Amino acid sequence: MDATQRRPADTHRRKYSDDEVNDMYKLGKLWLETGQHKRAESIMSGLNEVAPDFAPAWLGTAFLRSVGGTYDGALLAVNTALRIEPESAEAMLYLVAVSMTVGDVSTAGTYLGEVGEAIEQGKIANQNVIRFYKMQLARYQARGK
Amino acid sequence: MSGTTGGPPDSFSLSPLLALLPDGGNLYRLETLVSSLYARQETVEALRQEAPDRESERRCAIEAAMLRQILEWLADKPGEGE
Repeated sequence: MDATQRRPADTHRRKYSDDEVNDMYKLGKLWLETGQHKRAESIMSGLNEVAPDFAPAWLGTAFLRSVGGTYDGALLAVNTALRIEPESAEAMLYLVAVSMTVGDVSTAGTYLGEVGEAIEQGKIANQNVIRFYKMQLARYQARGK
Repeated sequence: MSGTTGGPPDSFSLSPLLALLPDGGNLYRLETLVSSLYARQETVEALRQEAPDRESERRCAIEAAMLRQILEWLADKPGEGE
């Protein structure tokens, strides 16, 4: 959030530490994993509010919007995550998945290319990222047939 | 649920999009923050009462809802030895 957008009430609010933000996000993720989406939504929305530069919570919001079928909201959230962390393969693959769902194959292709290049260069070791990339690549190629 | 191999469930197979989310911090550490989270909640609720406009009120409400969920979870957790 731009500092100029801060409102008077913000000046009374202490910032949360990085550890606090990460720990609260962990709980939100646990609730996502256990299907408690309403509770997870509280955490992710809260973190989007109090720590707007914390990309994982924007991805959590993108996940919730995706499963809820609100793809415009998912795109907004994932684009925010990407603006914060432009090199994040996870954010790029989220964008690929949502873009494919809404039929924006061009955007999906662009970001698949970026992630594929990073994988080829050995910059990505996370097997879940590689597996998800392969899954989305197959989806993308199937669209082209 | 475990597979026929008896290993742990593969979170990726269950929900690939979810498995892509970064891991995050530490829930045990969160338990040590009860006092400061309560203090924050009180502050945010007070700010919400005196919010100068709807947007400030909305933002305080979102933060308060997050803190309330976390504190409820922390309160429901069984204590040591239970």
